[in-house]
Amino acid sequence: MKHTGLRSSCAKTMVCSLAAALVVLAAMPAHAATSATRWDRPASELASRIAEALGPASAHLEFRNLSTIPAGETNVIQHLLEDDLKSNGVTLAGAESANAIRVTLSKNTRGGLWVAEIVEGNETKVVMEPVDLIPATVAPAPQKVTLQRQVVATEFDLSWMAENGIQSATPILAAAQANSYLVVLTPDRFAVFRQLPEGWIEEAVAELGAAHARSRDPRGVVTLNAEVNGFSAFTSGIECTGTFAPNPSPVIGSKWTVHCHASDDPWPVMQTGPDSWTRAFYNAERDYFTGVIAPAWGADLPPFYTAGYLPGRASGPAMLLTSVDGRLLLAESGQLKPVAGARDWGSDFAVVSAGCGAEAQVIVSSSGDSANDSLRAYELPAQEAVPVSEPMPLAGGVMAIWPAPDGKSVFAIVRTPMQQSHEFGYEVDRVTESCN
Amino acid sequence: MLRKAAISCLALSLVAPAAARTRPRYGGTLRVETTGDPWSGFIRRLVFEGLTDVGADGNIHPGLATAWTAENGDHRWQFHLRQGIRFHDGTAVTSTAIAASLEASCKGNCPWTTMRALGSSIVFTSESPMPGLPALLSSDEFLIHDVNSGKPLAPGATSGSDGGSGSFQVSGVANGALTLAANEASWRGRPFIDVIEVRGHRAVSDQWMDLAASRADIVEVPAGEIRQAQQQHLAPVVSDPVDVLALEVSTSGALADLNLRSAIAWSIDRNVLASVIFQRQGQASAALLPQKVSGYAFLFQPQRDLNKAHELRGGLAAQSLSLAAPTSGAWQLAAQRIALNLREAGFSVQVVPGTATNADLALRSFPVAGADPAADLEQMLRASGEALPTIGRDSAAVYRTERDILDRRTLIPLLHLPRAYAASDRVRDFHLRFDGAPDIDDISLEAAP
Repeated sequence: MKHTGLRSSCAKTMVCSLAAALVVLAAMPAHAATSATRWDRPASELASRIAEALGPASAHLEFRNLSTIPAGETNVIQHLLEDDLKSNGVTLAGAESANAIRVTLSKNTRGGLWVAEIVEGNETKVVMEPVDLIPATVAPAPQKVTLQRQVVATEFDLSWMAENGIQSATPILAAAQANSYLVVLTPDRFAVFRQLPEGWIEEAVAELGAAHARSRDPRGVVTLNAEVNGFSAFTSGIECTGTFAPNPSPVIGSKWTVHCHASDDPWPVMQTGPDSWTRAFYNAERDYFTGVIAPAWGADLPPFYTAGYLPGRASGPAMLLTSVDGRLLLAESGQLKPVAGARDWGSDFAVVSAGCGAEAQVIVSSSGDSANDSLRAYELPAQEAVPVSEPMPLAGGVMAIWPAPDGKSVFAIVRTPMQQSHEFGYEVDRVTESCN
Repeated sequence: MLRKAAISCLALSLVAPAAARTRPRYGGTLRVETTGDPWSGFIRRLVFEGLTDVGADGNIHPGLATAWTAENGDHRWQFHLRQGIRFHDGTAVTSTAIAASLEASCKGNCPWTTMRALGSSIVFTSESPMPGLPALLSSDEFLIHDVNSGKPLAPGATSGSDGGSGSFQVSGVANGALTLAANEASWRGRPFIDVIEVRGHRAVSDQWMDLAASRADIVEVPAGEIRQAQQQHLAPVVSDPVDVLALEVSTSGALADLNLRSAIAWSIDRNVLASVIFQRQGQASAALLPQKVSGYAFLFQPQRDLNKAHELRGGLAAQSLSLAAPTSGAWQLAAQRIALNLREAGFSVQVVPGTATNADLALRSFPVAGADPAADLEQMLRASGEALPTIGRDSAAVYRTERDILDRRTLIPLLHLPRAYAASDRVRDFHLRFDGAPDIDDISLEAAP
């Protein structure tokens, strides 16, 4: 018989076998202990219910799994259950026993459900135990990345579960982070959070009010506003400001003042200098920018979803925009030019200047039919979009992207599917470009 | 055969490359076709809203009520209403209007003892606990309409007074098609689509032909024809099992004897119904609640036992039984197959149209509305006219109730069936709600190329 090199060398020394055995022995108790801890309570509860129904008798135990619990863990659960049954006075017997306990690890829309059928002659009793099912974590696929993602916060970190016991996901429209503060805009609220060791704590909040128009595809923007020493935010028919008043006294502490008011002022859509913004009028009923911007750009713009400033091009600065009809356009030298190579682009992008290669890269939400989006960096050396990074998968669909105040990273609002549910949650990701 | 080939050829031409994930576009007319009345099923839910709604996860979410609280062991419920909502004719949706609508919906046969408007809320009280009230109020039966708007459920009134407050309002009826227009003031946000045209009473084959020829955007795919639709490249979107096909058994006349009803239950070969009639798109089950909802449906064994059926019948020669079933497609085939099974067990059975009254047996479908097993069971029992027990909320209590009901053999579950629809490639974000109905509210149409 011909052995592989590895196997023959192990056979010669026996060291490999011994080492492998030690590794397995060392790893097994740790894994088993973790699983056992997780399933301890429900196994104990189910065993008690079975013992109560059966009484101190002997029975044959049958076991099957109809749930998503991995096969490896069902052995742990079975052992736990056997131990708990014994400690409750049930003697486990072979198949010849007159009594049988059929345990099924099942699940429904609410989580796990462990069901035990206790068969005594012609009589069958049924007991059940609901179980929290935590899906097994999936290791991320190895990937070659130039974009790095950091989850800044999820809606759950921000304590936004609706009141009165109604659990309803709250869309996050836009967010921006500076220092230890996070400003978040939702269809109902504009809020400032401060990061403390225990998590994000709400420092100030302004309700947008019931009167403001709701939208099917609500959008918003949050920008750093040096004028008010804080942030500005815009959503359909509403403008909000958050002003920071530092206080030198540590006793009193610093204070945020936030307020919102009805407004149809144009939104800041792209930063053209340290304190200069191009603003665009927003159609709140159709969720796009009308094409009217201030200051003017030298070309008549069509209605668009997103715009970005591209400095340092051969013919001077350009404006990149995704038009409502799906085209990617460059407004450059007083002309509108279509951009090729963008067939895969979504409606949202943000321009960053991280000092990698060309002066600016465009980070774009991806496309396709998959449930999850990805982000990818592109450069536009001429009138063609050229990818300069691998796609970076996200945990869900991108709802919005805006440049971060540092100009080197972007904030992405990602709608993520909730576990064991058809609902979605929302998270704020910060995506930073690292130069290779 | 030629028609099938034509649909296949046309459907293949629908296949388009994947488009970029872009923001949804406003505008356009969505063309929906149905075998039933255009003013039925999910279309009504576009015009009318309930106090509560079933979300995509099957759980109860706010509708015209934003919050609710239960007191006194679920004997008293208070629903707080959303403010600033108007019916399509501009009339305010007040607590008084809602109370009048709810009263009119159940006409003295209401599941509560008293119901009244209290400020901007509605208060329900009952002599027995009503743990499932939020779910019940999301059902079609309790959709809110303006009782002062004439004939609220008839779309004939085209003056904008359909009596609803939903995302769409009736704008006209012409040539058998119902037209709905987007409600610009919907509190959920203005829908993406401008207009929905619903053509009713269209045969499934005609619907598929229209879809393939770009004359329709959303068409029905009956559970028994899902495989055929897939073969014809219609790419149907299929729900989880949400329809419970069951046999309603009369307790009067020939079937007053429990043993005879039990014999019927053991006679039916559910697996053949699932595999042959419904082309393996249904799950044979002797449980009312599907496994996905209850987690315990496997406890009800669906196997046929002809010997047991003969034994239970005990030589009793019941008079000829009538089995009522809809005359369409798979339903009729299923009824014929059940009749054959029953004849093998010694029964004499005649299949009659579904409209027949006083039939001994009736083939019916019960929808699964949400993810709450107790609420679903309660709504099924209400729909079947069974006595309504107070159902505990934990799985074991729901199981005991379901077991007790099924032991009466007045309802014999047969199959759990999915719902399916096919959509044209210009329909974007098309998905089905938890109850298997198309979620038209949030879809949009791609721009014309």
